[in-house]
Amino acid sequence: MDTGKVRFGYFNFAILGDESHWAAEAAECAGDQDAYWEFHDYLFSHQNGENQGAFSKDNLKGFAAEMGLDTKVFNECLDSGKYTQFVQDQANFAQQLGVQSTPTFIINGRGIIGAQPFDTFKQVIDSFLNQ
Amino acid sequence: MIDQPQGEKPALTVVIQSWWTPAVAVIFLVIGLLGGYFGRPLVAKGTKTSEPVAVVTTPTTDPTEAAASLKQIMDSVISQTTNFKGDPNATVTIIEFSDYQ
Repeated sequence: MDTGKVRFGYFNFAILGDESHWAAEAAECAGDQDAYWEFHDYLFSHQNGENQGAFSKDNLKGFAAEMGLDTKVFNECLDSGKYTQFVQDQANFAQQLGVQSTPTFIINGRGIIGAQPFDTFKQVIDSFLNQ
Repeated sequence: MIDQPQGEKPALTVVIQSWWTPAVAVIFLVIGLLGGYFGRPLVAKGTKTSEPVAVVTTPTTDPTEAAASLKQIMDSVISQTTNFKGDPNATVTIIEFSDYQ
């Protein structure tokens, strides 16, 4: 990625309930303040069970505050449901595409299902780089 | 009239009286039987191989189509993805579908 050969995208596939949706929406809200990836990483490092309050809206707002985001803008974004439809649309799109579980990766159209070892990714990536 | 068909039957036998006619008939009969016996598996194999060929040709025609459709899929996924890291012109694009939980 650092050498400009690979780029990485994250696609919200919120399927595990309300907190999945809120977390995805919150990340998009953080993205409005150019802090998408920071928030993204923060979420993954603060996972704590499913739908047990770890990603309640209050907690998500707390994360934004800890990261020094503009909380007023962030909270309004989250509360108003600015990205609710967007996140839902993404999940629907992924489902239509046939994505059934997380994580699923698509590398230039080639699917890798599950958290596969690095070598699996390397092989696929190299196969495209060497074309 | 009734006698004539009866008379024709021996006429048939008369043809067989020539010694090479039955010989040729038997030879061809044997050739036909052997041809049928050994040829049938070949024909059967032929149909069997034609099936895999059909199956093989579908993938062989598919890769180009599949590659095109993969690219289409990838392009549509890329268009729906809002957050990327790295060079937009990179050769390889990885998109992760995931849930934060």
